[in-house]
Amino acid sequence: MTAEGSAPQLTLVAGSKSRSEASPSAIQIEGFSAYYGKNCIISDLSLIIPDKGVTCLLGPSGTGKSTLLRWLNRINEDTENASFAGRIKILGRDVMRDYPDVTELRREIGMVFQQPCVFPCSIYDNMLMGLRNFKLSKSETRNIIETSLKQAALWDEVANRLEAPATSLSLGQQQRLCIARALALKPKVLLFDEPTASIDPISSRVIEDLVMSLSENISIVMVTHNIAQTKRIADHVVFMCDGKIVEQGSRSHMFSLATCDKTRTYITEEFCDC
Amino acid sequence: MSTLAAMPPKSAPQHGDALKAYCQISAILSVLIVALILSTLILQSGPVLSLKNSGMFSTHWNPDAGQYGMMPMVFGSVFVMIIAAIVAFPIGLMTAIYISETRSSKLRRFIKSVLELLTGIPSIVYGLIGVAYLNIWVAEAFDLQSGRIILTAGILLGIMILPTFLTLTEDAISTVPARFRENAKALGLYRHEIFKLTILPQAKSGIAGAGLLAIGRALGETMAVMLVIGSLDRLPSPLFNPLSSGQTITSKLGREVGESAFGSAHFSALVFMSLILVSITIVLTIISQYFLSRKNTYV
Repeated sequence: MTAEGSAPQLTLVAGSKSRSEASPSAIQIEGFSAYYGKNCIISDLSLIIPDKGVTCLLGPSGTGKSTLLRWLNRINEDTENASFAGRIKILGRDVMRDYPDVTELRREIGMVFQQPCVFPCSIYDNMLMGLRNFKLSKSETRNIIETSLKQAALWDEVANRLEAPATSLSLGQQQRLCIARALALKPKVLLFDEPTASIDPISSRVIEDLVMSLSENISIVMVTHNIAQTKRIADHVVFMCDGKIVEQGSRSHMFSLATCDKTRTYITEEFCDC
Repeated sequence: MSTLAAMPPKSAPQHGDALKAYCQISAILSVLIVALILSTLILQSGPVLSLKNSGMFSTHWNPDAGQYGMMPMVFGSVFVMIIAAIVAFPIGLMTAIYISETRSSKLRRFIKSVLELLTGIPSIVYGLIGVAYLNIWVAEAFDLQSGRIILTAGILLGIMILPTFLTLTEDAISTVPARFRENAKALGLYRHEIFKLTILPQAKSGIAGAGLLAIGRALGETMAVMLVIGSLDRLPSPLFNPLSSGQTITSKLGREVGESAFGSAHFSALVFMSLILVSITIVLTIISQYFLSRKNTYV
Protein backbone atom coordinates (compact mmCIF):
# COMPACT_ATOMS: atom_id res chain seq x y z
CA MET A 1 0.00 0.00 0.00
CA THR A 2 1.25 3.44 -0.81
CA ALA A 3 0.24 6.26 1.42
CA GLU A 4 -0.36 9.61 -0.23
CA GLY A 5 2.79 11.66 -0.26
CA SER A 6 5.26 8.79 0.06
CA ALA A 7 7.24 7.77 -2.97
CA PRO A 8 6.52 4.35 -4.42
CA GLN A 9 9.37 2.33 -5.86
CA LEU A 10 9.90 1.97 -9.55
CA THR A 11 12.42 -0.47 -10.97
CA LEU A 12 14.49 0.98 -13.74
CA VAL A 13 14.89 -2.19 -15.76
CA ALA A 14 11.71 -3.35 -17.41
CA GLY A 15 11.03 -6.31 -15.19
CA SER A 16 8.91 -9.03 -16.67
CA LYS A 17 8.33 -12.54 -15.54
CA SER A 18 9.33 -15.24 -17.95
CA ARG A 19 6.46 -17.38 -19.21
CA SER A 20 7.60 -20.27 -16.98
CA GLU A 21 7.34 -18.06 -13.88
CA ALA A 22 4.10 -16.46 -14.95
CA SER A 23 0.97 -17.02 -12.95
CA PRO A 24 -1.64 -18.85 -15.03
CA SER A 25 -4.05 -15.96 -14.96
CA ALA A 26 -3.51 -12.22 -14.94
CA ILE A 27 -7.08 -11.32 -14.08
CA GLN A 28 -9.79 -13.33 -12.35
CA ILE A 29 -13.32 -11.96 -12.38
CA GLU A 30 -15.98 -13.72 -10.31
CA GLY A 31 -19.70 -12.99 -10.20
CA PHE A 32 -19.16 -9.48 -11.52
CA SER A 33 -22.16 -7.20 -12.08
CA ALA A 34 -21.93 -3.51 -12.99
CA TYR A 35 -24.61 -0.87 -12.64
CA TYR A 36 -25.25 2.75 -13.58
CA GLY A 37 -27.87 3.74 -11.05
CA LYS A 38 -30.44 0.96 -11.22
CA ASN A 39 -29.49 -0.11 -14.76
CA CYS A 40 -27.62 -3.37 -14.79
CA ILE A 41 -24.98 -3.18 -17.54
CA ILE A 42 -23.14 -6.43 -16.79
CA SER A 43 -24.72 -9.27 -14.84
CA ASP A 44 -22.96 -12.04 -12.98
CA LEU A 45 -19.95 -12.29 -15.26
CA SER A 46 -17.05 -14.62 -14.49
CA LEU A 47 -13.90 -14.59 -16.56
CA ILE A 48 -10.26 -15.58 -16.37
CA ILE A 49 -7.84 -13.55 -18.47
CA PRO A 50 -4.54 -15.36 -19.07
CA ASP A 51 -1.20 -13.83 -18.16
CA LYS A 52 0.68 -12.22 -21.07
CA GLY A 53 -0.73 -12.03 -24.57
CA VAL A 54 -3.59 -9.98 -25.93
CA THR A 55 -7.12 -10.65 -24.77
CA CYS A 56 -9.73 -8.92 -26.92
CA LEU A 57 -13.16 -8.10 -25.55
CA LEU A 58 -15.26 -8.21 -28.69
CA GLY A 59 -18.91 -7.39 -29.18
CA PRO A 60 -21.47 -4.84 -30.30
CA SER A 61 -21.75 -1.39 -28.70
CA GLY A 62 -23.46 -1.15 -25.33
CA THR A 63 -22.66 -4.65 -24.18
CA GLY A 64 -20.56 -3.54 -21.22
CA LYS A 65 -17.05 -4.14 -22.59
CA SER A 66 -15.75 -0.70 -21.73
CA THR A 67 -17.59 -0.73 -18.40
CA LEU A 68 -15.83 -3.98 -17.51
CA LEU A 69 -12.48 -2.53 -18.58
CA ARG A 70 -13.03 0.64 -16.57
CA TRP A 71 -13.68 -1.36 -13.41
CA LEU A 72 -10.42 -3.30 -13.73
CA ASN A 73 -8.44 -0.22 -12.64
CA ARG A 74 -11.40 1.40 -10.82
CA ILE A 75 -11.50 4.41 -13.16
CA ASN A 76 -15.27 3.98 -13.07
CA GLU A 77 -15.59 4.46 -9.34
CA ASP A 78 -15.48 8.24 -9.82
CA THR A 79 -18.32 8.06 -12.32
CA GLU A 80 -21.63 9.22 -10.90
CA ASN A 81 -24.06 6.40 -10.02
CA ALA A 82 -21.60 3.71 -11.12
CA SER A 83 -21.36 0.67 -8.85
CA PHE A 84 -20.43 -2.97 -9.07
CA ALA A 85 -20.78 -6.27 -7.24
CA GLY A 86 -18.50 -9.29 -7.35
CA ARG A 87 -14.78 -9.71 -7.18
CA ILE A 88 -11.91 -8.76 -9.47
CA LYS A 89 -8.42 -10.06 -8.77
CA ILE A 90 -5.42 -8.85 -10.72
CA LEU A 91 -2.28 -10.95 -10.32
CA GLY A 92 -3.80 -12.40 -7.17
CA ARG A 93 -4.74 -9.09 -5.54
CA ASP A 94 -8.31 -8.01 -5.04
CA VAL A 95 -8.70 -4.60 -6.70
CA MET A 96 -11.05 -3.33 -3.99
CA ARG A 97 -9.68 -4.86 -0.79
CA ASP A 98 -5.97 -5.01 -1.52
CA TYR A 99 -5.61 -1.51 -2.95
CA PRO A 100 -6.81 0.96 -0.30
CA ASP A 101 -4.85 3.57 -2.24
CA VAL A 102 -6.40 3.40 -5.70
CA THR A 103 -3.50 5.29 -7.30
CA GLU A 104 -1.24 2.30 -6.59
CA LEU A 105 -3.63 0.08 -8.56
CA ARG A 106 -3.73 2.55 -11.44
CA ARG A 107 0.06 2.66 -11.64
CA GLU A 108 0.13 -1.14 -11.90
CA ILE A 109 -2.75 -1.37 -14.35
CA GLY A 110 -2.13 1.12 -17.16
CA MET A 111 -4.88 2.33 -19.42
CA VAL A 112 -5.03 3.84 -22.89
CA PHE A 113 -8.28 5.38 -24.05
CA GLN A 114 -10.09 5.58 -27.36
CA GLN A 115 -9.29 9.21 -28.06
CA PRO A 116 -5.61 10.19 -27.87
CA CYS A 117 -5.33 12.68 -25.05
CA VAL A 118 -2.05 14.46 -24.50
CA PHE A 119 -1.73 17.14 -21.86
CA PRO A 120 -1.11 20.66 -23.15
CA CYS A 121 2.57 20.68 -22.28
CA SER A 122 5.76 19.32 -23.83
CA ILE A 123 6.31 15.71 -24.90
CA TYR A 124 8.82 15.33 -22.07
CA ASP A 125 6.41 16.74 -19.47
CA ASN A 126 3.71 14.39 -20.71
CA MET A 127 6.06 11.48 -20.11
CA LEU A 128 6.97 12.89 -16.72
CA MET A 129 3.37 13.20 -15.58
CA GLY A 130 3.00 9.73 -14.05
CA LEU A 131 6.58 9.62 -12.75
CA ARG A 132 6.25 12.60 -10.42
CA ASN A 133 5.49 10.50 -7.37
CA PHE A 134 8.59 8.34 -7.74
CA LYS A 135 11.88 9.37 -6.20
CA LEU A 136 14.00 9.28 -9.32
CA SER A 137 17.14 11.12 -10.28
CA LYS A 138 17.18 13.16 -13.49
CA SER A 139 19.20 10.52 -15.32
CA GLU A 140 16.91 7.73 -14.12
CA THR A 141 13.88 9.69 -15.25
CA ARG A 142 15.44 10.35 -18.63
CA ASN A 143 16.34 6.66 -19.03
CA ILE A 144 12.79 5.58 -18.24
CA ILE A 145 11.36 8.14 -20.65
CA GLU A 146 13.74 7.07 -23.42
CA THR A 147 13.07 3.36 -22.85
CA SER A 148 9.30 3.88 -22.79
CA LEU A 149 9.34 5.99 -25.95
CA LYS A 150 11.44 3.32 -27.66
CA GLN A 151 9.00 0.61 -26.51
CA ALA A 152 6.18 2.69 -27.95
CA ALA A 153 8.09 3.03 -31.25
CA LEU A 154 8.07 6.83 -30.90
CA TRP A 155 11.64 7.61 -29.86
CA ASP A 156 13.02 8.02 -33.37
CA GLU A 157 10.32 10.53 -34.22
CA VAL A 158 10.59 12.70 -31.09
CA ALA A 159 14.12 12.22 -29.76
CA ASN A 160 15.28 15.62 -30.99
CA ARG A 161 12.14 17.53 -30.00
CA LEU A 162 11.17 16.36 -26.53
CA GLU A 163 10.48 19.94 -25.50
CA ALA A 164 8.01 20.49 -28.35
CA PRO A 165 4.32 20.68 -27.43
CA ALA A 166 2.74 17.24 -27.38
CA THR A 167 -0.22 18.69 -29.27
CA SER A 168 2.05 19.22 -32.29
CA LEU A 169 2.21 15.44 -32.84
CA SER A 170 -0.14 13.65 -35.25
CA LEU A 171 -3.06 11.73 -33.74
CA GLY A 172 -1.31 8.41 -34.25
CA GLN A 173 1.84 9.75 -32.58
CA GLN A 174 -0.25 11.18 -29.75
CA GLN A 175 -1.78 7.76 -29.14
CA ARG A 176 1.70 6.20 -29.05
CA LEU A 177 2.73 8.92 -26.62
CA CYS A 178 -0.23 7.91 -24.43
CA ILE A 179 0.99 4.31 -24.58
CA ALA A 180 4.57 5.37 -23.77
CA ARG A 181 3.26 7.44 -20.85
CA ALA A 182 1.53 4.37 -19.47
CA LEU A 183 4.58 2.15 -20.12
CA ALA A 184 6.81 4.52 -18.14
CA LEU A 185 5.10 3.27 -14.99
CA LYS A 186 6.06 -0.36 -15.78
CA PRO A 187 2.48 -1.63 -15.60
CA LYS A 188 1.74 -5.31 -15.04
CA VAL A 189 -1.42 -5.14 -17.11
CA LEU A 190 -2.33 -2.69 -19.88
CA LEU A 191 -5.93 -1.90 -20.71
CA PHE A 192 -6.80 -0.55 -24.15
CA ASP A 193 -10.24 0.89 -24.84
CA GLU A 194 -10.54 0.88 -28.64
CA PRO A 195 -7.13 2.52 -29.04
CA THR A 196 -7.29 2.70 -32.83
CA ALA A 197 -10.89 3.84 -33.20
CA SER A 198 -10.05 7.47 -33.88
CA ILE A 199 -6.87 7.18 -35.92
CA ASP A 200 -6.03 6.37 -39.54
CA PRO A 201 -5.37 2.79 -40.78
CA ILE A 202 -1.59 3.24 -41.11
CA SER A 203 -1.23 4.56 -37.57
CA SER A 204 -3.60 1.80 -36.42
CA ARG A 205 -1.29 -0.80 -37.92
CA VAL A 206 1.70 0.70 -36.07
CA ILE A 207 -0.23 0.53 -32.81
CA GLU A 208 -1.34 -3.05 -33.49
CA ASP A 209 2.29 -4.09 -34.02
CA LEU A 210 3.19 -2.27 -30.85
CA VAL A 211 0.46 -4.01 -28.86
CA MET A 212 1.63 -7.40 -30.10
CA SER A 213 5.25 -6.72 -29.18
CA LEU A 214 4.27 -5.45 -25.72
CA SER A 215 2.12 -8.50 -25.09
CA GLU A 216 5.23 -10.66 -24.83
CA ASN A 217 5.92 -9.08 -21.45
CA ILE A 218 2.64 -7.52 -20.34
CA SER A 219 -0.90 -8.82 -20.11
CA ILE A 220 -3.04 -6.76 -22.45
CA VAL A 221 -6.81 -6.47 -22.37
CA MET A 222 -8.28 -4.66 -25.33
CA VAL A 223 -11.83 -3.61 -26.10
CA THR A 224 -12.57 -3.53 -29.81
CA HIS A 225 -15.38 -3.64 -32.35
CA ASN A 226 -12.95 -4.37 -35.12
CA ILE A 227 -13.14 -8.03 -36.10
CA ALA A 228 -10.25 -7.84 -38.57
CA GLN A 229 -8.09 -6.28 -35.90
CA THR A 230 -9.07 -9.01 -33.44
CA LYS A 231 -8.06 -11.63 -36.01
CA ARG A 232 -4.68 -9.98 -36.43
CA ILE A 233 -3.64 -9.43 -32.84
CA ALA A 234 -5.71 -11.41 -30.34
CA ASP A 235 -4.38 -14.43 -28.50
CA HIS A 236 -7.66 -14.85 -26.64
CA VAL A 237 -11.08 -13.57 -27.59
CA VAL A 238 -14.04 -12.93 -25.32
CA PHE A 239 -17.28 -12.28 -27.17
CA MET A 240 -19.80 -10.29 -25.13
CA CYS A 241 -23.42 -9.49 -25.73
CA ASP A 242 -26.01 -7.83 -23.45
CA GLY A 243 -23.63 -7.70 -20.50
CA LYS A 244 -22.85 -11.40 -20.64
CA ILE A 245 -20.09 -13.53 -22.10
CA VAL A 246 -21.47 -15.44 -25.06
CA GLU A 247 -18.31 -17.38 -25.86
CA GLN A 248 -14.59 -17.20 -25.23
CA GLY A 249 -11.47 -19.02 -26.34
CA SER A 250 -8.29 -18.78 -28.29
CA ARG A 251 -8.27 -16.81 -31.54
CA SER A 252 -8.15 -19.97 -33.67
CA HIS A 253 -11.06 -21.45 -31.75
CA MET A 254 -13.21 -18.33 -31.99
CA PHE A 255 -12.61 -17.75 -35.70
CA SER A 256 -12.95 -21.31 -36.88
CA LEU A 257 -14.64 -23.43 -34.22
CA ALA A 258 -17.04 -21.07 -32.49
CA THR A 259 -20.00 -23.07 -31.24
CA CYS A 260 -22.48 -20.31 -30.60
CA ASP A 261 -24.58 -18.93 -33.46
CA LYS A 262 -24.33 -15.38 -32.14
CA THR A 263 -20.55 -15.53 -32.16
CA ARG A 264 -20.39 -17.05 -35.62
CA THR A 265 -22.79 -14.45 -37.00
CA TYR A 266 -20.85 -11.58 -35.46
CA ILE A 267 -17.37 -12.67 -36.41
CA THR A 268 -18.36 -13.43 -39.96
CA GLU A 269 -19.30 -9.73 -40.00
CA GLU A 270 -22.98 -10.38 -40.57
CA PHE A 271 -23.59 -8.80 -37.14
CA CYS A 272 -25.96 -10.28 -34.67
CA ASP A 273 -29.03 -8.63 -33.24
CA CYS A 274 -27.96 -9.11 -29.65
CA MET B 1 -34.72 15.43 -54.74
CA SER B 2 -34.46 17.22 -58.04
CA THR B 3 -37.99 18.66 -57.59
CA LEU B 4 -37.07 20.09 -54.20
CA ALA B 5 -33.84 21.53 -55.51
CA ALA B 6 -35.74 23.27 -58.30
CA MET B 7 -38.12 24.97 -55.83
CA PRO B 8 -36.56 27.90 -53.96
CA PRO B 9 -38.19 28.54 -50.56
CA LYS B 10 -40.99 31.12 -50.83
CA SER B 11 -40.26 34.64 -49.56
CA ALA B 12 -36.98 33.52 -47.99
CA PRO B 13 -34.91 36.34 -49.53
CA GLN B 14 -37.33 39.07 -48.35
CA HIS B 15 -37.44 37.70 -44.78
CA GLY B 16 -33.69 37.26 -44.82
CA ASP B 17 -33.10 40.85 -45.94
CA ALA B 18 -35.48 42.28 -43.34
CA LEU B 19 -33.87 40.26 -40.57
CA LYS B 20 -30.39 41.28 -41.71
CA ALA B 21 -31.39 44.96 -41.77
CA TYR B 22 -32.98 44.69 -38.31
CA CYS B 23 -29.81 43.06 -36.91
CA GLN B 24 -27.60 45.68 -38.55
CA ILE B 25 -29.69 48.57 -37.17
CA SER B 26 -29.63 46.98 -33.68
CA ALA B 27 -25.86 46.58 -33.82
CA ILE B 28 -25.33 50.15 -35.02
CA LEU B 29 -27.71 51.45 -32.33
CA SER B 30 -25.79 49.59 -29.61
CA VAL B 31 -22.49 51.04 -30.76
CA LEU B 32 -24.07 54.52 -31.00
CA ILE B 33 -25.37 54.31 -27.42
CA VAL B 34 -21.90 53.43 -26.11
CA ALA B 35 -20.35 56.20 -28.23
CA LEU B 36 -23.00 58.66 -26.99
CA ILE B 37 -22.30 57.81 -23.34
CA LEU B 38 -18.55 58.16 -23.78
CA SER B 39 -18.79 61.41 -25.76
CA THR B 40 -21.22 62.86 -23.19
CA LEU B 41 -18.83 61.99 -20.38
CA ILE B 42 -15.90 63.54 -22.25
CA LEU B 43 -17.85 66.69 -23.19
CA GLN B 44 -19.30 67.16 -19.71
CA SER B 45 -15.83 66.74 -18.21
CA GLY B 46 -14.72 69.80 -20.16
CA PRO B 47 -15.52 72.54 -17.57
CA VAL B 48 -13.48 70.96 -14.77
CA LEU B 49 -10.60 70.09 -17.09
CA SER B 50 -10.44 73.69 -18.32
CA LEU B 51 -10.36 75.05 -14.76
CA LYS B 52 -7.03 76.29 -13.50
CA ASN B 53 -6.04 75.20 -10.00
CA SER B 54 -8.89 72.67 -9.72
CA GLY B 55 -6.50 70.43 -7.77
CA MET B 56 -7.84 67.25 -9.34
CA PHE B 57 -4.84 65.23 -8.21
CA SER B 58 -4.93 66.58 -4.67
CA THR B 59 -6.75 65.11 -1.69
CA HIS B 60 -8.89 68.16 -1.00
CA TRP B 61 -12.49 68.06 -2.18
CA ASN B 62 -14.39 71.31 -1.59
CA PRO B 63 -16.65 72.37 -4.47
CA ASP B 64 -17.45 75.70 -2.76
CA ALA B 65 -13.75 76.61 -2.91
CA GLY B 66 -13.32 75.22 -6.43
CA GLN B 67 -11.21 72.30 -5.15
CA TYR B 68 -11.92 68.95 -6.77
CA GLY B 69 -9.26 66.62 -5.37
CA MET B 70 -10.26 63.17 -6.60
CA MET B 71 -7.45 61.12 -5.09
CA PRO B 72 -9.39 59.96 -1.97
CA MET B 73 -12.18 58.59 -4.19
CA VAL B 74 -9.88 56.92 -6.72
CA PHE B 75 -7.77 55.44 -3.92
CA GLY B 76 -10.92 54.35 -2.02
CA SER B 77 -12.29 52.57 -5.10
CA VAL B 78 -9.05 50.70 -5.69
CA PHE B 79 -8.57 49.86 -1.97
CA VAL B 80 -12.13 48.55 -1.57
CA MET B 81 -11.72 46.56 -4.78
CA ILE B 82 -8.53 44.93 -3.46
CA ILE B 83 -10.19 43.97 -0.16
CA ALA B 84 -13.19 42.57 -2.07
CA ALA B 85 -10.83 40.49 -4.22
CA ILE B 86 -8.96 39.21 -1.12
CA VAL B 87 -12.31 38.18 0.42
CA ALA B 88 -13.93 36.71 -2.69
CA PHE B 89 -11.14 35.04 -4.68
CA PRO B 90 -9.84 32.36 -2.27
CA ILE B 91 -13.34 31.37 -1.12
CA GLY B 92 -14.65 31.48 -4.67
CA LEU B 93 -11.79 29.44 -6.10
CA MET B 94 -11.97 26.74 -3.42
CA THR B 95 -15.75 26.48 -3.70
CA ALA B 96 -15.54 26.31 -7.49
CA ILE B 97 -13.02 23.48 -7.23
CA TYR B 98 -15.28 21.64 -4.78
CA ILE B 99 -18.36 22.07 -6.96
CA SER B 100 -16.68 21.09 -10.21
CA GLU B 101 -14.81 18.12 -8.80
CA THR B 102 -17.71 16.72 -6.79
CA ARG B 103 -19.20 13.50 -8.11
CA SER B 104 -22.83 14.40 -7.61
CA SER B 105 -24.28 16.34 -10.52
CA LYS B 106 -27.45 16.96 -8.44
CA LEU B 107 -25.44 18.72 -5.73
CA ARG B 108 -23.51 20.65 -8.39
CA ARG B 109 -26.72 21.82 -10.10
CA PHE B 110 -28.24 22.81 -6.74
CA ILE B 111 -25.23 24.90 -5.67
CA LYS B 112 -24.98 26.51 -9.11
CA SER B 113 -28.68 27.44 -9.08
CA VAL B 114 -28.38 29.02 -5.63
CA LEU B 115 -25.33 31.00 -6.74
CA GLU B 116 -27.05 32.19 -9.88
CA LEU B 117 -29.96 33.36 -7.71
CA LEU B 118 -27.51 35.27 -5.52
CA THR B 119 -26.14 37.17 -8.54
CA GLY B 120 -29.66 38.49 -9.15
CA ILE B 121 -30.19 39.97 -5.67
CA PRO B 122 -30.35 43.80 -5.89
CA SER B 123 -27.33 45.49 -4.36
CA ILE B 124 -29.48 47.58 -2.02
CA VAL B 125 -30.45 44.34 -0.25
CA TYR B 126 -26.78 43.59 0.35
CA GLY B 127 -26.38 47.17 1.54
CA LEU B 128 -29.19 46.80 4.06
CA ILE B 129 -27.67 43.58 5.38
CA GLY B 130 -24.36 45.40 5.61
CA VAL B 131 -25.88 48.23 7.63
CA ALA B 132 -27.94 45.94 9.85
CA TYR B 133 -25.35 43.26 10.66
CA LEU B 134 -21.90 43.46 9.06
CA ASN B 135 -21.39 47.05 10.13
CA ILE B 136 -22.05 46.12 13.77
CA TRP B 137 -19.99 42.92 13.70
CA VAL B 138 -16.96 44.73 12.29
CA ALA B 139 -17.28 47.52 14.87
CA GLU B 140 -17.43 44.96 17.69
CA ALA B 141 -14.60 42.85 16.27
CA PHE B 142 -12.19 45.79 16.01
CA ASP B 143 -13.57 47.75 18.97
CA LEU B 144 -14.59 50.76 16.87
CA GLN B 145 -17.27 53.38 17.45
CA SER B 146 -18.66 52.82 13.97
CA GLY B 147 -18.32 49.94 11.53
CA ARG B 148 -18.84 52.21 8.51
CA ILE B 149 -15.31 51.82 7.24
CA ILE B 150 -13.38 50.73 4.16
CA LEU B 151 -13.01 47.17 5.51
CA THR B 152 -16.78 46.74 5.86
CA ALA B 153 -17.32 48.01 2.32
CA GLY B 154 -14.62 45.65 1.05
CA ILE B 155 -16.07 42.62 2.83
CA LEU B 156 -19.59 43.44 1.64
CA LEU B 157 -18.39 43.93 -1.91
CA GLY B 158 -16.44 40.66 -1.66
CA ILE B 159 -19.64 38.86 -0.70
CA MET B 160 -21.44 40.56 -3.59
CA ILE B 161 -18.94 39.58 -6.27
CA LEU B 162 -18.44 36.08 -4.89
CA PRO B 163 -21.31 34.46 -6.88
CA THR B 164 -20.14 36.08 -10.14
CA PHE B 165 -16.54 34.99 -9.63
CA LEU B 166 -17.57 31.55 -8.42
CA THR B 167 -19.94 30.67 -11.26
CA LEU B 168 -17.52 31.87 -13.94
CA THR B 169 -14.61 30.05 -12.28
CA GLU B 170 -16.66 26.88 -11.97
CA ASP B 171 -17.53 27.17 -15.67
CA ALA B 172 -13.84 27.56 -16.53
CA ILE B 173 -12.91 24.46 -14.51
CA SER B 174 -15.76 22.23 -15.59
CA THR B 175 -15.31 22.99 -19.29
CA VAL B 176 -11.93 21.24 -19.22
CA PRO B 177 -12.82 17.98 -20.99
CA ALA B 178 -13.33 14.95 -18.72
CA ARG B 179 -10.83 12.93 -20.75
CA PHE B 180 -7.96 14.91 -19.20
CA ARG B 181 -9.09 13.88 -15.71
CA GLU B 182 -9.44 10.25 -16.80
CA ASN B 183 -6.03 10.14 -18.44
CA ALA B 184 -4.43 11.70 -15.38
CA LYS B 185 -6.23 9.24 -13.09
CA ALA B 186 -5.06 6.35 -15.25
CA LEU B 187 -1.48 7.51 -14.64
CA GLY B 188 -1.98 7.12 -10.90
CA LEU B 189 -2.08 10.79 -10.02
CA TYR B 190 -3.79 11.93 -6.83
CA ARG B 191 -6.80 14.23 -7.03
CA HIS B 192 -4.85 17.33 -6.01
CA GLU B 193 -2.19 16.51 -8.62
CA ILE B 194 -4.82 16.04 -11.31
CA PHE B 195 -6.21 19.46 -10.53
CA LYS B 196 -2.85 21.18 -10.25
CA LEU B 197 -1.15 19.56 -13.23
CA THR B 198 -3.92 19.07 -15.75
CA ILE B 199 -7.02 21.10 -14.90
CA LEU B 200 -5.57 24.35 -13.57
CA PRO B 201 -3.20 25.02 -16.50
CA GLN B 202 -6.15 24.79 -18.86
CA ALA B 203 -8.61 26.71 -16.69
CA LYS B 204 -6.32 29.50 -15.52
CA SER B 205 -7.18 31.91 -18.35
CA GLY B 206 -10.88 31.46 -17.59
CA ILE B 207 -10.27 31.95 -13.86
CA ALA B 208 -8.28 35.14 -14.54
CA GLY B 209 -11.09 36.40 -16.76
CA ALA B 210 -13.64 35.62 -14.04
CA GLY B 211 -11.57 37.54 -11.50
CA LEU B 212 -11.26 40.62 -13.70
CA LEU B 213 -14.95 40.61 -14.55
CA ALA B 214 -15.81 40.34 -10.84
CA ILE B 215 -13.43 43.21 -10.02
CA GLY B 216 -15.14 45.26 -12.73
CA ARG B 217 -18.45 44.66 -10.99
CA ALA B 218 -16.92 45.63 -7.64
CA LEU B 219 -15.67 48.91 -9.06
CA GLY B 220 -19.07 49.84 -10.41
CA GLU B 221 -21.05 49.04 -7.27
CA THR B 222 -22.72 52.06 -5.65
CA MET B 223 -25.59 51.57 -3.24
CA ALA B 224 -24.23 48.90 -0.93
CA VAL B 225 -20.84 50.63 -0.68
CA MET B 226 -22.42 54.03 -0.08
CA LEU B 227 -24.31 52.67 2.92
CA VAL B 228 -21.31 51.20 4.75
CA ILE B 229 -18.12 53.05 3.75
CA GLY B 230 -18.54 56.09 5.98
CA SER B 231 -18.31 58.64 3.13
CA LEU B 232 -15.24 60.57 4.26
CA ASP B 233 -13.40 62.41 1.48
CA ARG B 234 -9.89 61.84 2.70
CA LEU B 235 -7.11 59.33 2.36
CA PRO B 236 -6.82 56.84 5.24
CA SER B 237 -4.06 57.43 7.73
CA PRO B 238 -1.85 55.43 7.57
CA LEU B 239 -2.56 55.05 3.86
CA PHE B 240 -3.46 51.35 3.87
CA ASN B 241 -5.53 51.42 7.05
CA PRO B 242 -8.77 49.57 6.22
CA LEU B 243 -10.28 50.56 9.57
CA SER B 244 -10.80 54.18 8.57
CA SER B 245 -13.80 55.61 6.78
CA GLY B 246 -13.39 56.47 3.14
CA GLN B 247 -15.11 57.17 -0.12
CA THR B 248 -15.27 55.49 -3.51
CA ILE B 249 -16.00 57.12 -6.86
CA THR B 250 -19.42 55.49 -7.01
CA SER B 251 -20.44 56.41 -3.47
CA LYS B 252 -19.33 60.00 -4.14
CA LEU B 253 -21.40 60.13 -7.32
CA GLY B 254 -24.37 58.59 -5.54
CA ARG B 255 -24.27 61.20 -2.80
CA GLU B 256 -23.47 64.40 -4.70
CA VAL B 257 -24.77 64.15 -8.23
CA GLY B 258 -28.24 65.25 -7.10
CA GLU B 259 -26.82 68.26 -5.27
CA SER B 260 -24.80 69.64 -8.17
CA ALA B 261 -26.15 71.95 -10.87
CA PHE B 262 -26.01 70.62 -14.43
CA GLY B 263 -23.14 72.27 -16.33
CA SER B 264 -21.36 73.47 -13.19
CA ALA B 265 -17.72 72.69 -12.41
CA HIS B 266 -18.93 70.51 -9.51
CA PHE B 267 -21.12 68.46 -11.86
CA SER B 268 -18.27 68.33 -14.38
CA ALA B 269 -15.86 67.00 -11.73
CA LEU B 270 -18.31 64.24 -10.86
CA VAL B 271 -18.71 63.36 -14.54
CA PHE B 272 -14.94 63.27 -14.94
CA MET B 273 -14.70 60.83 -12.02
CA SER B 274 -17.28 58.63 -13.71
CA LEU B 275 -15.18 58.81 -16.90
CA ILE B 276 -12.20 57.49 -14.90
CA LEU B 277 -14.42 54.71 -13.55
CA VAL B 278 -15.73 53.80 -17.01
CA SER B 279 -12.19 53.77 -18.41
CA ILE B 280 -10.96 51.39 -15.68
CA THR B 281 -14.02 49.14 -16.17
CA ILE B 282 -13.58 49.07 -19.96
CA VAL B 283 -9.90 48.15 -19.62
CA LEU B 284 -10.74 45.40 -17.09
CA THR B 285 -13.53 44.06 -19.32
CA ILE B 286 -11.28 43.98 -22.39
CA ILE B 287 -8.54 42.14 -20.48
CA SER B 288 -11.07 39.69 -18.97
CA GLN B 289 -12.62 39.03 -22.40
CA TYR B 290 -9.12 38.33 -23.72
CA PHE B 291 -8.51 35.78 -20.96
CA LEU B 292 -11.97 34.22 -21.29
CA SER B 293 -11.58 33.84 -25.05
CA ARG B 294 -8.15 32.24 -24.57
CA LYS B 295 -9.39 29.46 -22.29
CA ASN B 296 -9.00 25.96 -23.67
CA THR B 297 -8.04 27.18 -27.12
CA TYR B 298 -5.03 24.87 -27.12
CA VAL B 299 -7.00 21.76 -26.20
